Amino acid sequence: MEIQTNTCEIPARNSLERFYYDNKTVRDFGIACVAWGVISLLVGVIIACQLFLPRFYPDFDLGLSFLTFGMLIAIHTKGAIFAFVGNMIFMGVYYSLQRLCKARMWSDTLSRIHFWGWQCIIALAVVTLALGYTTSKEYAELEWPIDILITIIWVVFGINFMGTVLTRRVKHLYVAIWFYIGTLVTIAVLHIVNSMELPVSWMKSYSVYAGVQDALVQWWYGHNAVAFFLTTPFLGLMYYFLPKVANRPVYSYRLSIIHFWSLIFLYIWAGPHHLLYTSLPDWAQSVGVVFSIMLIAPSWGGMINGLLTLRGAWDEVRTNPILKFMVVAITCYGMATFEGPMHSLKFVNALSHYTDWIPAHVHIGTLGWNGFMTFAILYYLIPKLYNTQLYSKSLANLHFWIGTLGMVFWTVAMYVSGVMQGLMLQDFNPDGTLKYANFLETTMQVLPMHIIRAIGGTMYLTGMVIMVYNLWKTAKQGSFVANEMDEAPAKERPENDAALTGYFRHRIVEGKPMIMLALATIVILIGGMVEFIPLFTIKSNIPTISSVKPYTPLELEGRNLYIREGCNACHSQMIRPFRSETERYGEYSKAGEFVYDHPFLWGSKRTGPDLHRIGGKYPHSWHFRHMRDPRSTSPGSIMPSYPWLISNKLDTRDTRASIVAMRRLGVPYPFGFENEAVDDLQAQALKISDELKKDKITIPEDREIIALIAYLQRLGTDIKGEQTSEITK
Amino acid sequence: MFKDFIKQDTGMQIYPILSLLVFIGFFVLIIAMAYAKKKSEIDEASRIPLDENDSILTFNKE
Repeated sequence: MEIQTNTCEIPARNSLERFYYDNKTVRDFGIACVAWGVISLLVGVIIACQLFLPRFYPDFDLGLSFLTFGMLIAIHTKGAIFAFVGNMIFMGVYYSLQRLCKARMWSDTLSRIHFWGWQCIIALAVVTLALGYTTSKEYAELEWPIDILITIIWVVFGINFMGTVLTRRVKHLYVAIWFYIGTLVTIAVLHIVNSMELPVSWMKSYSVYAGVQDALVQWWYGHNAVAFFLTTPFLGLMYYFLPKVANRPVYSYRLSIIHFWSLIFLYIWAGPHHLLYTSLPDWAQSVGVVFSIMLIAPSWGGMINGLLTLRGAWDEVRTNPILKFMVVAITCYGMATFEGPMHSLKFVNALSHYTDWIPAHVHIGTLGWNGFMTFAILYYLIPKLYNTQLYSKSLANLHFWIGTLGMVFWTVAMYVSGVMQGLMLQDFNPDGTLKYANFLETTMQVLPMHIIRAIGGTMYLTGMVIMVYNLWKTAKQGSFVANEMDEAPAKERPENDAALTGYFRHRIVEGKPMIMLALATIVILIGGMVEFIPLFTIKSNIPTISSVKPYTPLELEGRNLYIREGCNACHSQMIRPFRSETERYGEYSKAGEFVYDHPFLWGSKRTGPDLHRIGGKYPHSWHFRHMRDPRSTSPGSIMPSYPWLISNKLDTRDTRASIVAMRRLGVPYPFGFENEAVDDLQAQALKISDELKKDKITIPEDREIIALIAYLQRLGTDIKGEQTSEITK
Repeated sequence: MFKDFIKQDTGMQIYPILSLLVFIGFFVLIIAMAYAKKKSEIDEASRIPLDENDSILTFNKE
């Protein structure tokens, strides 16, 4: 039976109203979660193998552009976060919200639009990222038309969500719903602010922010995408599903109130801890550190609240695989939220940043907290939706153990690799020279760890495949309940409720969702504004350097190629002010060097060396040979080959539009320069092609590789020879 | 450092004090509100997810 809205069948006062929960949307999101989850994790295993396979099979990537690490990693992270975890969030929210509100979702049509719209976004993401359409901003790589689509679908979800909350039959908003509301508003704010970009063509845009400012906005977004997409909705799910499975109320409801408000208040400030020792002004870094450390309190408050809910029920944990998954998930949440603040301490960060330690930390969160909580909810919900029992408890137990072991292999290998490589990169000989002068030497040392990581990932994926079989058999043995009946008394009018009158109490907020929405918005805006406003308005935060000039049209095109190929996934462009880094790479990076960088390309992981001062370090011919076959210049390199850069002609159709767009964003190209941009580009390309000829490399000047060489040779050269005294404030 | 930044502009000195007060105020308010709630309210709210009596539900199969 199809019900279009949650209007009741028997609208009698003071009597029970009968209504039906929409289980179809819940189930569909669940199927999408599992399907995309398997794909995302499979891509994860493939990219894990790409970090050691080239050592044994140099032609591993078959010369296909969409199979390089730089391309696939974006698909893996988008898939894992927005497809796997995202669909689970919606599955869990659509199920729990209806029950907590004693109401069907407000509109079946909006539920359908939301479901198909979200799957459409993910499919578009996979296709466009594989084709190289990317903004380069981590977790926000999708280009502007898809950004607009995401906004529309999120608003559809928001309307459907708030419609359900406002027409609920339960007076009190349970704590899970607060976390959902916090997620709803914050993701909207984050997505809109970080996606501010100026379109150049239908699938190319430039971030409106540049350099340091872009970095701050990006990591305010990046950090809070973790906070409000991977954490708060899952905490909401924890507060609903853990009491259900354990059949007892949450340990402390008071603690959950404090947990919620302090978490959303503190989280939003901590983004700058992703930029320690970079060119971001010190005060902003310090704000990030302080708030990151404070975050331990609410995070652990939540974890303790979750674990203590199981007091008196620990014997059940031994026998119930769903509880096992939940306990490990909550423990991983505690580990990740302890480790995060520790990484924010500057002396730890100096070692851990850019190394495998960071993916290890992230995967404790995604594999442990999000993954295991997702599996627990699926094992709980699928039998319920199909009105049956789980097909096999022993298969679920097998999944639990193989998943846990896989996760241990994955993370321990990466902890070892991260610390090892970090220490090696800092190591000096007694005479003051670098002990491992060649970055590649350190890569070779950690290779065995990468093999163990891939084995761990494969085990985790195997566990998921076992789950798919188990859930499929469960569904087959049951029959699907598309519309589940329930009854509840009609909601009392708030003005008749004595508890909602009188002096200000938290109960008022709990009964009034729009106030909750407004308060949550205010709370999350404070942190962002305090960090952004000084950085955007006070000039002295980014000292300008007179010798820093805009990119030439050819360099700009080369930069677009650098972004397209995802070079920033493995190479940073940010030299920190340590002797070990200045010895290895050159002068440390200054804020003023990035003022024309829309977007910034600092990167967050060094699988290969930093490139900020690569300009002028090698001849053009070295770069040509290196891109054609990295192992010809760097024996043992694990970098993919880029043969298509040599065969592809450079597309200059948008060069003019790029110059105009950059000028609109504040890059000082003279008026009219756009008309001569292509000529300028060709002249510079010809020069590089001529120089390559001297090294016996004959290549037409209209090839993509020429533009990329031009960009790489420009990197970090603007201030070479400049004295600090010339840096003007 | 933060202190130098604050020094650069007059009128900025109030910011650290203000943020400290905002924090203390915020947490005191939240904790006060959490503890001002009656035990009965807390118990009632925390049992919301458990209120559903799954066994009495009838199912409408697809």
